[in-house]
Amino acid sequence: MEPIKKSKNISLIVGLAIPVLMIVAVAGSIYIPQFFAPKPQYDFLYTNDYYGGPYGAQLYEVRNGRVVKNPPVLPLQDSSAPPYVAKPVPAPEPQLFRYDVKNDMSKEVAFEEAQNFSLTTDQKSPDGFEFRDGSRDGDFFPFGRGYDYNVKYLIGHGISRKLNISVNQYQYNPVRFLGWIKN
Amino acid sequence: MEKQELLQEIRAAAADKKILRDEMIAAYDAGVGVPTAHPSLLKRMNIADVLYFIGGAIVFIGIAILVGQHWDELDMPTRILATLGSGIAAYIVGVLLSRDERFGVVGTAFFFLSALIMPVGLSVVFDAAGLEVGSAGMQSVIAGILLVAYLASFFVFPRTLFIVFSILFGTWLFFSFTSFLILNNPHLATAEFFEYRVLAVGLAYVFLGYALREAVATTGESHEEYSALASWLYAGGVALFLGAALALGGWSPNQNAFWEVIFPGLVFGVIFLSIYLHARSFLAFGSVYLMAYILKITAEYFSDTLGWPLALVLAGLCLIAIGYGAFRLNQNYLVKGVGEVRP
Repeated sequence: MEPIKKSKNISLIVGLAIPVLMIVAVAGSIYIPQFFAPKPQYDFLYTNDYYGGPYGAQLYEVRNGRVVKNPPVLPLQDSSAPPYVAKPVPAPEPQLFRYDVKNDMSKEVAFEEAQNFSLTTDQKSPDGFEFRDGSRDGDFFPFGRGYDYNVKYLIGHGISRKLNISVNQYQYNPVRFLGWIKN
Repeated sequence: MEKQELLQEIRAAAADKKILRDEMIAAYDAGVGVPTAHPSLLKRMNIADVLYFIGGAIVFIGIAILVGQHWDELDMPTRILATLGSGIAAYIVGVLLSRDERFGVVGTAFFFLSALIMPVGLSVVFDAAGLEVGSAGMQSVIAGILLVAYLASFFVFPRTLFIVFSILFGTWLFFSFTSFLILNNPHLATAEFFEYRVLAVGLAYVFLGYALREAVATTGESHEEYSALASWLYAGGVALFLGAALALGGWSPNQNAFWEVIFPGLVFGVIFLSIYLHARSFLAFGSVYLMAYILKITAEYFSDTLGWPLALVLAGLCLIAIGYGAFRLNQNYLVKGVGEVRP
């Protein structure tokens, strides 16, 4: 009887321990690498011209490692009076920002200053980090996971670091990554 | 002992609650030779019992529809009363009815109703408090509260229903808490992470089913409902485990070679375990998943080389062989082994 009772207890303990161990393993894989992962070294440049925004086509882009400014294409608004010709509507110009990874903060930079940056548009920075969207909160049970474009992360070396970027939550994907600043 | 003295002794024992009415009647019946029903017969579900539970489910649906249709018209206290209040009321009714063995199953039906309504009630309460109920964190809190409540209920009222809902709430807590952990860590939020969680849950179910079966075997009492639950845990556990293992193999060109190579070993291990555990579900699911694996592999790797029709012919022959093998295993080891007690 005693070996059978031990067998019953062991199987119950193992059955309950499996999910607990998995939780411990997940927590460990999140927090332990943070002690050993290197800190990001490369700042990056981004802009807040959003998809479907007033400028339609993207105002800023990176060519040959430098940021360039495309001719603005202002949105048109239909006229309600004769001769009913659509006119361009003034819209606030998108801004450029430099994210300081050491201090976890964004700083707006003028286009003239940004032109002096040497940029790389690789998905990964030279020190192995990637700029990525967050996951949507509100994950009900195991289903319903999606992207949260209002939250951005630096991911690399087994860790995720939430970025301190404030965005307009009413715009779709309001932050556009331009490139890693090499100098 | 004179008859009057004996009756006086019985009155005194009943007043002190040293003896129950049923015990006294059973002793009298044993004395006069009246055959008593086997305990397992008393616990077997009949149509009336099934109707109790169906009725409980329909009551839940009715409450849900009533509240849902008039949700905007109800103020917050009424919403909480209609949901959490109903759940607590059903639980109390279950407790009261459980005190009388004649209404035991009816009491269980009310416990069932309470278990369905309580999650909704707690969600309404937390929503009223201004918390985001749909978030992984709040789901973890709700699941944790319900798990503790129903686990404690099992120790007070040892009913299978409380084990079932403890397992369900525990599973819910596991998924929601792990989702909460990876919320700010999108490098872990992959499809594989979900599959690994399902793998862990499936394995846990199998071990819990084994523990339950062993507990029934060692107590020497007839607990058919516990055995039935163990069978369901075996079936659910092996289905989840093998399903997750198959999914982890992926699909070419993004396949995971480790899981694709190890999967046949897992399946054969499950099939052989069916003999040791006398679990037909292991044999059934093992066979089905082996067939699924063969179809997957032929479609992935051989449809271009051998030609799709020839690959299908080979796969079909393999399926026939597997089906025959499963039938023979069942006949030789499971059917003949019915009634044997495995250590």
